[in-house]
Amino acid sequence: MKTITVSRSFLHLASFLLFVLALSCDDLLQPEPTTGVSDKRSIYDEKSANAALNGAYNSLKASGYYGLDFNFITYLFADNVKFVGIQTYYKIFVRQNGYGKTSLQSDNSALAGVWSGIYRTINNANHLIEKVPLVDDPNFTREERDDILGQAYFIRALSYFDLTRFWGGVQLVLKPTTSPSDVEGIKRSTLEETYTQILADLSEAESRLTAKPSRIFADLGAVQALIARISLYRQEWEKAETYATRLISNDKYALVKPYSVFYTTKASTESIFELEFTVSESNPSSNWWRPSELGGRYEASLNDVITGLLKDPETGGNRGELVLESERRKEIYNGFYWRGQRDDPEYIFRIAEQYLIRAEVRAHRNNLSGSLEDLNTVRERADVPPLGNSRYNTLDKALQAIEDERRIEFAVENHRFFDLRRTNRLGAVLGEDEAYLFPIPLNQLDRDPYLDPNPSN
Amino acid sequence: MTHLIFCRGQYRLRRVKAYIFLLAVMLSFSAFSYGQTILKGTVIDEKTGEAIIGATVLQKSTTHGVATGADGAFELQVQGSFPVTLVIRLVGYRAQEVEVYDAGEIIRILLREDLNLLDEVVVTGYVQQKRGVITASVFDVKSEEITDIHAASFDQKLEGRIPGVVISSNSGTPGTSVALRIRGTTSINAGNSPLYVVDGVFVNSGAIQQIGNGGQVVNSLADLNPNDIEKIEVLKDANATSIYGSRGANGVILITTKRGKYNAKTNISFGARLGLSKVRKLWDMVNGPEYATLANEVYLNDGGDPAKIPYPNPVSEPSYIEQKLDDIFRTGLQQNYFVNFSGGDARTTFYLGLDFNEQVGTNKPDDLKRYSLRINLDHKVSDKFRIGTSTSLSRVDRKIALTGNNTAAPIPSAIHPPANVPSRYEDGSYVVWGIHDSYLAMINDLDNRSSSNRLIGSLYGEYTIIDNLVFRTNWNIDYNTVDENIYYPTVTANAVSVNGRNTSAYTKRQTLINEQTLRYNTQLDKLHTLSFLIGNTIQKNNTSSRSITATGFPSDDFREITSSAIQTANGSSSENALISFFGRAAYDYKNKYIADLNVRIDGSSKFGTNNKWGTFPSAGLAWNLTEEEWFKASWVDGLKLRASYGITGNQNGIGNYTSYGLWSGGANYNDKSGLRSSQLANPELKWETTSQFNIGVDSHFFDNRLEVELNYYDKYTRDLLVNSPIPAISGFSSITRNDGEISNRGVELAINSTNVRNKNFTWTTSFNIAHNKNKIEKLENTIDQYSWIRMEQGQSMFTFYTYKQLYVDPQTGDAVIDDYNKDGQINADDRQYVGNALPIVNGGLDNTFRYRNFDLNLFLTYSIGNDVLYMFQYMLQHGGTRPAWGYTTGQLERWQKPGDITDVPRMTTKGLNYALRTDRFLEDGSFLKARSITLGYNFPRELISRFNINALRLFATGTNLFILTNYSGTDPEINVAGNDENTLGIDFATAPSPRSFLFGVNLTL
Repeated sequence: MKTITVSRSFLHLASFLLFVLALSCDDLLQPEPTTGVSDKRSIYDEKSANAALNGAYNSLKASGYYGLDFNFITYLFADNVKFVGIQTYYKIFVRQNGYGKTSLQSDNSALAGVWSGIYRTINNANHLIEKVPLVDDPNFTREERDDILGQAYFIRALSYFDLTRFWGGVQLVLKPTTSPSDVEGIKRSTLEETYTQILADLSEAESRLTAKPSRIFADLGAVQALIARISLYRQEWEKAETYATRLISNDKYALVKPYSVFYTTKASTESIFELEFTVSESNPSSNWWRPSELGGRYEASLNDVITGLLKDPETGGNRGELVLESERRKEIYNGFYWRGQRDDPEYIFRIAEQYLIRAEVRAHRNNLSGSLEDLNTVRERADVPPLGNSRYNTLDKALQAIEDERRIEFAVENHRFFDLRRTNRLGAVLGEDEAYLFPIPLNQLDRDPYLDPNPSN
Repeated sequence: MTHLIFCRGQYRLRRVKAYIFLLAVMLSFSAFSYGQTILKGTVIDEKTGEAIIGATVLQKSTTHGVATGADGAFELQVQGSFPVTLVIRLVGYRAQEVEVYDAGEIIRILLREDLNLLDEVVVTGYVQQKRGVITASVFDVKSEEITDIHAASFDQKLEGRIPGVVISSNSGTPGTSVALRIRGTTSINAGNSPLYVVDGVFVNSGAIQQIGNGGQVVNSLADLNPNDIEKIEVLKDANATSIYGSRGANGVILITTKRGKYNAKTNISFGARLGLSKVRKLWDMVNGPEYATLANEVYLNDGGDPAKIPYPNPVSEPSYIEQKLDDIFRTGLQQNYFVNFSGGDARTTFYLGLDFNEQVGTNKPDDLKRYSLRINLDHKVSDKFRIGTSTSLSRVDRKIALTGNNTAAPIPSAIHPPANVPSRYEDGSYVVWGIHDSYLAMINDLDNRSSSNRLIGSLYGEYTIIDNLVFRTNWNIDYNTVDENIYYPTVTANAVSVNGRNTSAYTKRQTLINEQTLRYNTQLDKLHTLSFLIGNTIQKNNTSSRSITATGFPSDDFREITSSAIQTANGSSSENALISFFGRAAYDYKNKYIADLNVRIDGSSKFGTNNKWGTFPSAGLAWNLTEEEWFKASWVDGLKLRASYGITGNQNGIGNYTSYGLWSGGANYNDKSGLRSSQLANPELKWETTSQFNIGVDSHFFDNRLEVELNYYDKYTRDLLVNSPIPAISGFSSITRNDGEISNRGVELAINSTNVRNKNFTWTTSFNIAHNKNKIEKLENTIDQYSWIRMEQGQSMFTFYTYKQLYVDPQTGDAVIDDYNKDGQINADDRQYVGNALPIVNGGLDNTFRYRNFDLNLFLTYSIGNDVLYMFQYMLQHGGTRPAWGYTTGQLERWQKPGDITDVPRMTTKGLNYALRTDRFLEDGSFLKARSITLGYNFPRELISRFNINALRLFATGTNLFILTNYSGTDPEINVAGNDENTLGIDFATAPSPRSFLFGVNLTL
């Protein structure tokens, strides 16, 4: 019965194969990902905590946030930048004839990108804030933990502050998300409640951070700069002056001359905090600003008014160097983005802003001479003739002079639109509703029944 | 006749031919003892004129018989007096009776192929079945039917052939992906492509390219040589596909390649095709003076100062648009040469296939070259043990033109700038216009290549343990590497400021499959036939990729990464596994009542711990009415009713680690490594399942001259795997979860008819038509695609959702947009459903005429009720809102003065006239396409046999000769997003399918 023996051996073979299979089943069906790690292996020692911190900075410089849209759409919304491109979701931010109420809709994808970009950064910070204190690593010292935690608190404060600048009071999420149910049922906080949270985070950051040489990671100086700016927004003049003075008197920071030095060199002494981009992680904004003959999309340019102001020796001085022109088609473009490799930084806090904050605060505190001194310090660096006392002898004149100066000094930094709103000048200058806040993104309202819209929705 | 067909039903053995052969040999031995008259003759295929091997020649009413040999010849000893009657039989042919009057007569018997036999063997999941006992809906396409159509990949050739299968080429670029859907769209994120099985190997059909080409993806099925294919079977309903379990939800396409025959002389086939192609239709663009006029009008309508109009003298504006269209297109060239060797001795068969195929695309610089080699072998180690292989090796080299939604692609770069913009400056350098790169640079200087190397191999061993109990094991591999290289020279905008940019990417995909089956058949009392099958499969896929981008080259003469100054690199890999057990049982009673059951259990690595395993059962019933005693209608040759129900699963489209909570690297800052939470965990993630009910009728009438197949199906997909949007305050925009249900219900009808058949002339017609109704039954959140398409509960997939333009006010020239929610303002809430990209019915009509040695084939495909969004028109009828962009001639129809009646609003950059995506650009895309027209001539056998030639055929084919459609674009089948399964019917800057003429020759020695 040869057949039977052969068939038996086949059955043996078959059952052996099934046995091997049963053993290998579990391994085969549980592959370990190679480009990701599970939640449990996220922040568990000093090295991974530092990597997670880098991840938070990466979110900060992503294209939904400081890398592009957070800045870009407010430029288009205000009056220094003109739109020369075709991208419809940017074009809608441009005011027809440069004045009047916006026709922006809540379904704008760039706006939705900013909302999610900022909340993603917050989630990064939340992970650090929750997990760094729990890391079981004897080599991870208290000082190192405080440094990372301080930066995480700062990043969260900056993120919520930027959310308030776009939308007012927002939903506060203070714990890392592990499941969609973690964020269910959260209602918007008021603007005041949001500020309370921001200030609480900033005092955590202030108590943990020290002054460090770096300008591309947040240190105590960055915290002070944000406190000074928020105090200005909240009209807490004394606090704003205190913090601005701390920075101005800190010899780590100084105005560089000419103006162009701060953007032609990286991390100049002028810089309190700037976001670094590299050749491998290039700045997304560059593509949208650079002329086509230099390989960009050229969708935005400096408008005639700001170009005139920058180039005028009486107003712009050496700041005119910011206006560049392409060789062949003579297209005017933003000098920040001069690097062919597109590794231009984004400037979050410069010492010039602290001078102008203090100038504004001192004017409000009836210290017009001190105010003018600060203003002229900034003008002097730009080789613009100093303003005389006669043009600076009332609060109104002073505030107008400061507004004008800020417009030029921060021609393509993200201040103009927010400055006009906080000084109730939106209506007069842009024809917009005085307290205009962006509409809450429609896709978020659709997904979250607890999220209330804004008047502009 | 009926009875003649079914009498062969008694040969129940799997290897029918082998059995007949053995029987015949035995019979011929017994015939020797009588020592009677010897008859000599040959058996020939009526259609091809080729000798038929292995046909049985039997003296009627006796047991004397022989089988024909390698040259179709036989010698048969007959007894009794003349005339004697011979019966000649072979599976797949009609039995023939011949009266022989004289021993000296040279007998030449022509056998006619029988296409509609219920005994025809059909390969379904893991078993071969006779068509008569199949309970499922299975449709097959034979290689002859598609051999004359020239296409880079076989899936393109199937267009219009199979009812219920919608196939559309996304572009006219050779070797780009084809959208193929069997019985509708069942999934949003888990994939809608069917499973392709080539000689038992589950073949990867998705592209693995890393470098984007602007919406089109390469078709990895172009790696297979269509000339090697013997037969393609399409399994549509759940009872046919559920044995493939989780792979079967979107249907299964089984490809059987050619193999040699035992005891056959070596057959050599050679084929050559040479063809030319040209774009059929291009876009109508305004010329220079017209552009200037329109630009002036925008300026004035926007309130500009008439003294400063941009073009004071429009007529003098130059026009370069014709030149540009000429520059980007050319006459394409197609050539294909193949040679096959096949044959075998008593123990071994072989098939060797070689192929070279080149398609030079009509849009520069597209070019595809394929080199392929196939080796199929079978060897009988003993009577019980058989081994064999199917192996194909191929290489596909492509030069790729960027297409579609890409500012560097030649088509948009040439056409979007206004007509008065030249392509070069006076000094000869290229003009780069706004966001558009120079199309000349993209054609002449950009170097974009890819090459794919592919090995698809299978080794099997089959052992007959005892009679009818067979064990089989398969060891399969699908190994694919793709090497891509793109170099942007310094003249391109992408590289001007970085001194050249090279991206070099290498991707490897490997699928290993091991499979065992054990099958058993038995027959009880010659009434009950039972068959069983059990099996298991282990499958492991892994993909890994590397890419390097380098900039800073000393000059464009240096393009290798080693010469560059700055490099950045990426690399990743991932894997998944599938473990399956399956079984099948089938029963039939006298071929009359048939029942079968299938089940497959799959375990997938992609799902959460508790939901890895899924069970997918199915059952089918069939009733052959013509087998009943009481069935008397002699004009009905076959009538079968069948019904089936089953469940299949889907997990294809989702990522390998979708259920895991993940942290990923690469979130770097200042070139220091960074880490970020990148995916939320969903341990509840489970299989997407589709249940399907099918009823059908298979029928044959009038001596099998009319064949009608009718099916109704009802498919319901549950637990859709979707990227479900979640509130962004979580830090994430979506999570993959099971949310939603989709239904597809439809009817399919296929008719094959032999209208005329006589000695010199035959006319056959095949017609198919299918209707499918798709509906999203449940979906928590709407999902938008490409800003035009929305998926929402209650709607069909691929529904266009946008603003509706009611009319253009004849007084003001302003567009009047439908205030859908009647709130007095036009905003995003006024968008509505305005059309759908899916057809109501579609199908094909095939007519073949043969007169003596000539044949003429006319193959039409059609689609009715599908809408196409002419997005190209939307981009280029911008009314001035895209400064520095040109216009199509449609813009000339704009409103100009009060009283004008038109649907093209007044030119202006302000207001809503051109600010919204309106339905004005949505058109009816119904069409009737002359897919191919072929005229062929088969040389008479008498003429060529002197040169030892078995068959010689010459033919000429015209492809896409005409399209009847109201669609104003170039081709209603175009889709800009060939890489996105959820986008369909959007025509934007994609190369249209060309019209081509091809000459071919087939030679068999």
